[in-house]
Formats: sequence, structure tokens, C-alpha cells
Amino acid sequence: MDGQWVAAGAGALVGAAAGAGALYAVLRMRFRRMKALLEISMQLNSTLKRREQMELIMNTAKRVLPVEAASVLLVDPETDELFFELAQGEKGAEVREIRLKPGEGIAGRVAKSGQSLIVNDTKNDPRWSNRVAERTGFETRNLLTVPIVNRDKVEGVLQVINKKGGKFTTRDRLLLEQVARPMAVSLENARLYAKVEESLAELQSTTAIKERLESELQVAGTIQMSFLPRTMPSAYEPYDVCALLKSAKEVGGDFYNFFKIDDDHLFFALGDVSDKGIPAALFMAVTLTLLKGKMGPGLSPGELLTMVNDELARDNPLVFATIVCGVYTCSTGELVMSEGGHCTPYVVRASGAIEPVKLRKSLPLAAMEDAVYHDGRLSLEPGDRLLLYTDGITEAENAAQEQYSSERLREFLEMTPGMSSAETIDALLMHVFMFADGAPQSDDIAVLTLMRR
Amino acid sequence: MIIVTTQREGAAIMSIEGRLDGQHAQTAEASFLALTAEGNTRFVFDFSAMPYISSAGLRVVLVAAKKVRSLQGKLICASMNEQVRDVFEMSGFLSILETADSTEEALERLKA
Repeated sequence: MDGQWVAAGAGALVGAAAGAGALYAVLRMRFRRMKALLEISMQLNSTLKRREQMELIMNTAKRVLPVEAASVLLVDPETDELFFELAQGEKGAEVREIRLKPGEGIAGRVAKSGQSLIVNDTKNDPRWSNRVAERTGFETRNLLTVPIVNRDKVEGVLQVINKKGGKFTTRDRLLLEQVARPMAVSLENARLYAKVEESLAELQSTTAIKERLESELQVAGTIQMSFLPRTMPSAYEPYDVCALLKSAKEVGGDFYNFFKIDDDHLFFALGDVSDKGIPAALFMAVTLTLLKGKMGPGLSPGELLTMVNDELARDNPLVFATIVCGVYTCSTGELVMSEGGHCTPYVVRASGAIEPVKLRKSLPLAAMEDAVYHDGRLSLEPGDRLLLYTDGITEAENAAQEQYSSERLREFLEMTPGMSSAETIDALLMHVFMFADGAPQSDDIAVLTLMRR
Repeated sequence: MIIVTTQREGAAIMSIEGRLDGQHAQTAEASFLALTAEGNTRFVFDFSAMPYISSAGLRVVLVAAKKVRSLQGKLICASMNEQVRDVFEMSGFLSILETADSTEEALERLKA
């Protein structure tokens, strides 16, 4: 650039009369151009929208390089075609619909080579493609095209058309090249900004979905609780049964149920689905429905589970459920129980002695077709208590990641003789929460206890 | 959790290093299914470096056991620690699983 300024300066000196004035004019113009470039780089930070940035840059450029029309064409990364990102001038709207094939016309040539081009006589230049001119009816006398290069890659071209009052010079080219440089930065910024906007929009829609899901989950949780018996039997029954479910999330996978089969027999069940959330809740609902539908007088718990498992395992579901269930004969205190992959129940004798209920192990419900479930027998004397629970109790963790464990459960149970079933459950939950000491409940908890009066 | 799979004496050995819980169950299942897709039918699950298995982890073992059964292959679970063994025992899974004290013992039995 210096070379030209020297030449221009030399020219001014030759014309001695106008010398001082011409030099002043050259310096003033140089100053204006520098100022314009500075303004452009300042404007880059004023907006992050690509088109707005481009427009700002172009308007500033046009102040120092007066032209009739200006446009920015960008390379479509998928097709390598050039499309008009921005077209100023009276035919701008028509121009914006045109796409140029790779290498087509002056713009395509510049995009391909990365080299600027000045064409001062379009009519006699074979490189000139008049497709755009014909489409718009805009007469192009001369044009200057420079590439927009970002990290050695041509992203597009900047084109100015019909310089007011003359031909395009090398100086104009250098100026326009300097204008194109911040455009590349602007493109990069805009891309980053678009990405930020995109992820923000995504976040917003995710949040909306999450909120909707949460409200649906609350409804699902209410429905789920309605599957469980909520009114506990009256104080005049010869047994005292009480149960509680506390889900770690809105809907859980633990379940219990109890109901009278006939005047002398009470059925009870408690289980744990191997998952949480909606799938677990649905599976639990199906399991509870099957248990209730199939259980009847004369059926043993083992026979019941074998039947229910045949139904559940048939479709090869993705979840399974551990379960322990039984039939209590009120008149004799006799218990028949069966289990599928569940943790060991306990009997607390009236004396305070703790006995684990050793049942013959089977697989969880729905784990395997044709699984067989076995019956085990024991009996309760007045004041004896049976306790069923899920691993949400024994595996409750404190902040140090220690587990409540079956040892602590047995220690607790030793304190329960004399308590009612409701009191026992209240005290057990209190004992577990005291142990967890503020650590969040990570698994569902279900407890059921049955005492012979 | 890290899963290391190796081939030894005509069997695929899948070593689970770390807790096999709900967070990692899918990875473990995918690794196993990839091994079956490669044509393996004889498997050893090496649990020597697995301190804990959750019900989601049990499900992976169940899926594997069923798949191996349908392939008429064989699966042996080796080197489970006492806690993990308790979980398998409690869940009734020991009734459908073959276990071995070590990978070597498992490989020996797969050969027979």
C-alpha cells in the first residue's frame, strides 16, 4: 500500500500549484479509510447476529468507497454453491434468490481461487457471467470482488458494483480486502452465537418437557398410591396389620397389598420392581392387579406366584419384581408364605426373639418363564409379629455411604414387642432416617407388618 | 465401571471392574450382546473386581443367562465376593446360574 501512497504523493508534488491541497486531500482520505476500518472492528462487538454484522460492515465500507450496489455471497458448505447473504442496492430483493454454481461468474471464480478480482469493463470481459444482470435488469459497469477468508478457507466473497465516479483501483481492492477480514471474524462469531442460541432453545424446550413430565409424574404417583389399601383394618380384627410405602421419586417401584380372601384368611404381599419411575409403576400396577385377580380361597401363595409369573414372564419384560407374599389364617395363627428373590422377612416373637423366615428361594417374578414358587409354613402366637420390607430399608445409606443393614434392622426389631403395627412402622422409618442423617433417600421403601392379637 | 473383554481357550471372558448398578447396566448389556453378535457362545463373567451389583445389574446377568440358553451355549459367573454372592443368593439367581471360584476353574469346566 505504501508504494501507492508514495506514487500519489509524488503526483501531488508534480502539480506544484495544487500541491499542498492535494496532499491534504490524500491524507484526509487515508485518515477516513483508517477510521472506517477501526469503526468496523468496533462494530463487530455491537451485535452478534450474522446479517446485522455484515450490514454494519458494508455500510461503513460504502462510506469510504462509494458504489451503487454491494453484496455478500457465502459458500453453501453442502453444495459449494454461492448464495447471496446480503444484497444492497435497488435490485437487492431479486438478487437474493439467485444461487451461483461453483466457479460461476466473477464471484464463483474468486471463491474458488481465493484471489481478488477487479473487472472495470464487464462488457468485454469473458469471465463475466450476465446471468444475475439479466435476471435483475441491473446494469453492471464495473465490479470489485474480494474473498472472505477464515483460517485459510474461503467462506464467501464481498462484491461492490459500479463505483461512483470512476474505475476500481488497486487501492480500492486493498481497502475492500481489509473490510472482508473482519467479515470472516463476524461469520465465526455469528456461528458461535447461533450455536449458543440453539442450545439455549434446546434447554428451554427440555425444561418445558421436564416440567410437563413432572406434573404428569405427580398424577401418576397419585394413581399409583390408589392401588394400595389405605384404610387399615379395624381394631376388632384378630390381627393388627399395617403397611407403608415411601417412594424416592414421584412414582416408585415398591408395592404392597393386603386383603381378606374370606372371613378366616388374610392375603398380604410386598415387593420391589427392579426399576424406578414410570416403567416400574406400570409393572407394579400389572403385578398387583394379577395378584388380586388370581388369588382366591384354597390357592396357596406358591401356586399364586407360579400363575402370576407365567403371565408376567410371557412377554419377556425388561423389568422384574422381587416379592414375598402369604396367607394368614386368623383362627390358628398359621402362616403360609412364598417368595421370589426377595430379602429375608423376620418374625419378632412376643419375647423379643428375632427369627429370620427362611423360605425356599425362587426367582423374581417375570425373570424366567416356567419358574416354580414354593410354599413355606410357620405360625404366629399372640403378640408375635411378622415384618416384610424392601431393600430400601436395609440399603438406606448415610453420608459416609454405610448401609443401614439387616444387623441394625434386627437390633431395632428387638425393641418392638408391645408396640402396635403402626407404631412399629413409624419407629422403624424414624430409625432409618436418623441413621441416614440427612442423606437423600435413594431407593423406595416399603414395609408391612402383621401381628397376631 | 470398566468392562474388559478377552478371549481365552475358546471362551469370551467379560471382567466387570467396578459397581454394576443402574448407571452402568446398559453398557454392560451392550458389551455382552456385542460378544454374542461376534459369534461367542461360551462365556465367563469375571466378578473378581466387582464390589457391588444392583437389581439393574442382576437384570443384565439375567438377560445374559437367557441369551446363552437360547444360543445353547454356557455362562459361568466366576470369583464373586461374599456380598455379591449374597445378592445372587437372595434374589434366587443362584438357582439358574452356574458359578465358579475362579476364572481358571470356569474355563476348565467350559472345556469339559
